[in-house]
Amino acid sequence: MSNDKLIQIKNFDFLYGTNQVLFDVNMDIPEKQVVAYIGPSGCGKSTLLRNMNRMNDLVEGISHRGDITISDKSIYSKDTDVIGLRRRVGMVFQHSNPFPKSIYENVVYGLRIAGRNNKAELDEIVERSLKSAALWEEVKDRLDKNALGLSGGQKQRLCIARTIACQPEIILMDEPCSALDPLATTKIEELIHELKKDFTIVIVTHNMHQAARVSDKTAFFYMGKLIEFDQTENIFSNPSNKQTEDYISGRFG
Amino acid sequence: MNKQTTVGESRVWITALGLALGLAMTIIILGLITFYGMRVFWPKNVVTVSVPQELAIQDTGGKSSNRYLGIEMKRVEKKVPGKSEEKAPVSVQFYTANRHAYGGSFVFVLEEQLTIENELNKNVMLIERETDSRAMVLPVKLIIDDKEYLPESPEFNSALEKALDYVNDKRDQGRDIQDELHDLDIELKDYQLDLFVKKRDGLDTSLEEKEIARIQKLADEYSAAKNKLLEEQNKDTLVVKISESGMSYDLSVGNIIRYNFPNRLSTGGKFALFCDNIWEYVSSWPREANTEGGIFPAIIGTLVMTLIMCIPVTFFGVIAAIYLHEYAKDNLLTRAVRIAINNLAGVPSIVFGAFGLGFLIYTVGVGIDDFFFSDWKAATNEPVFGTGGLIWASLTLALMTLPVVIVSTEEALASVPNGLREGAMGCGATKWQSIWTIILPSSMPGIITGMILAMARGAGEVAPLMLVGVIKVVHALPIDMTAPFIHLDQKFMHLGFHIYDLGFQSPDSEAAKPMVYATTLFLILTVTSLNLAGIIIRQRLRKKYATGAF
Ligand SMILES: Nc1ncnc2c1ncn2[C@@H]1O[C@H](COP(=O)(O)OP(=O)(O)OP(=O)(O)O)[C@@H](O)[C@H]1O
Ligand SMILES: [Mg+2]
Repeated sequence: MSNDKLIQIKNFDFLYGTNQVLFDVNMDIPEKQVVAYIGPSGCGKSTLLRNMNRMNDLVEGISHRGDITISDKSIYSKDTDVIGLRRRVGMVFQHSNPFPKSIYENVVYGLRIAGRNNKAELDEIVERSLKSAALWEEVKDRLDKNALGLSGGQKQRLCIARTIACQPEIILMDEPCSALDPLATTKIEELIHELKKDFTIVIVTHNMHQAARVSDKTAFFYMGKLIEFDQTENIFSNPSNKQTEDYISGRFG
Repeated sequence: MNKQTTVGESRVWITALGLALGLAMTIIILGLITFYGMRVFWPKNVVTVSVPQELAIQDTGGKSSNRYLGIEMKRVEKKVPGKSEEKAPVSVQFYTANRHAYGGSFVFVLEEQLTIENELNKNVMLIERETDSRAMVLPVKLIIDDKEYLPESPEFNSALEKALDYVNDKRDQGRDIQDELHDLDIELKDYQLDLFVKKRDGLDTSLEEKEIARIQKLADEYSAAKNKLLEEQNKDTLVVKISESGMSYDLSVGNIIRYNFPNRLSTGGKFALFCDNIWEYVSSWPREANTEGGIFPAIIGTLVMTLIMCIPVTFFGVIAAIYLHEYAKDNLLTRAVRIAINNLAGVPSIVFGAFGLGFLIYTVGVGIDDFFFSDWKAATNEPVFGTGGLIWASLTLALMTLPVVIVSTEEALASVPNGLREGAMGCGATKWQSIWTIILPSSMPGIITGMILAMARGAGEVAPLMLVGVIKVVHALPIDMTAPFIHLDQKFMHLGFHIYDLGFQSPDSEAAKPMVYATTLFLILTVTSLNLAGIIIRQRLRKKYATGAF
């Protein structure tokens, strides 16, 4: 039975210092679905995404009100294991960021730092993760080569493989295709379709077509507020809000 | 029509000029040092100088020579202040060697009073000796056992060569015995310490006394063997005279290290001797209060001290930079610490020397001695760490060069893309794990840049070292094959200090002058090769971590 409230965002406000960038966001994200965040630049999509695995903790002087829960457990409670949270909620970034190590070591990085060093087990995970990231065929003969020698699209898929290898429940993607060419973008979009079977995915994108193609539900943000959140078909064919309609049809943003 | 001018471009040439000037000066300095440094090793002809009878030089043998041997060094105009003559008299400097016979190695003669004979005496020998300074002599005869060889005889050369082989063989044996004696001495000191402690505590000391007696007997046997070797080594004699009419004396073949006939050398022979001279200089120990022999222990001392310095300076520098850059909040305190670090880089080096002496040696070193070596100190009355030594010199320089490493490490850390940090944390790494596994390796090239700068500054520093462990002559290297291999408590020689010593402390400053250039050249070469090694390592790393800006 799938949980349609895997992630719950409740009355969430967020401030960088005194600058409030999220206002009273409420949203339930169902399990094993793809949710797309769209909205004009600076509206707080990345900020919300980065709060879901507490990546924003790295920034100084942040504060929030409200709560985010995953499987009904608050990620902000005192006993939250932030490291464990980041393992459960993986993240793929706008600019691919493979480590300056071999392809193999990139994939197993999350496992190694968790103290898992069994060679046979790691080998198997590397193969499985690279296969799910649709990269295996391209790199299987050069696993010990430096990852920085890969192409941009390959690097991004490697980052996805690296995230998958940690066996997370949720994968957050912040504009994963913005630096890629259409072909590489298509590959990643196909990949997202595949990954949906095993993972819950939240993706930020500026590409309306991409949002329409890959996501089950879409959320539209404007000036730090969640304007509309609905099934993707509804948002794109028949949005209930004027601002959403304007944005989608390209009249602003 | 308006003529367009590029405003400000006209000033570009000023910056170019600055660069050109800097480059030119560097090249001139390096060129001068290389020229003067290398010239020392080039063999020159020995001429016969003849002067009027009243200018003849007296030697310690009571003879006087008005025709003597010498190598022309330089000519100087002797301007007398106030007198504006048309032509000032020119004075010529000759290197005569034979300091023991003449009382000095150089003579100055006015050009108008001397004639340099055209014919070169092919028999002149230049001889480097174990004790006493260089000899520039004419051989009279070689006495081997009871056979005599005259220099004109065809066997003279081969006989001398054979005699020298024999001597070198004995020398090697003597060195082996010396090593044995050294080991015995260490063992003896151990037992003497035990003896002292047991005696003090009123325990039975018969075992130690027995062992000490055994070792002393052994040492006596070795010493006797060594004396016998020395006698054998000195059995042959080369009779020489310092000039045609000068004194003659017996020169023991056992005292000869190398010799050559400068006036018999072809250009190729000169070049071979030139290379040999350079090799001899870098590979042999100094003799005769550093005016003769080589600089081997000084090169090793400089290298070892600099490399040991690298360990603490990198360790503490990197740790401090990580804290400052990754953990410390940007507040008043951090800013104050940063300013303090930058100011540290401007403190005169002698201040660090004073700190090393006052704090490291007198406080830490003496404390270590009191705590760990109290028995030793009581028994021998000698400090171990409570006096200047390799460790204190390295630590003092490490402290001095710390700011360089901190600053460049911080820059390297800052140049690691933020994406890598987030990537690591996104995979569930703790902050420390992400620093240790990703950020630090990526900053390695920058850290090594800091290390190279630190080495460059540290290796050339002399002033603080004089307070914390450098000495004029050592009898053992700071590294060797006896445990613990690196002797951190030992004093050591250093090229920079050697230059100072040659230039200002030498008993024969004229003879030392060219050596100053030669030593400077090798100091530069040593520092350069250290830096080169660093640069090569950095290049390797840079290829591996192609992300950082360093
Ligand atoms: N580290 C930070 N410190 C201070 N303010 C920040 C920080 N990151 C983002 N902001 C501010 O928060 C607001 C929302 O930024 P955010 O990155 O979430 O926007 P976004 O919707 O992802 O935009 P884009 O589509 O351009 O990526 C912006 O006004 C931005 O200036
Ligand atoms: Mg963003």
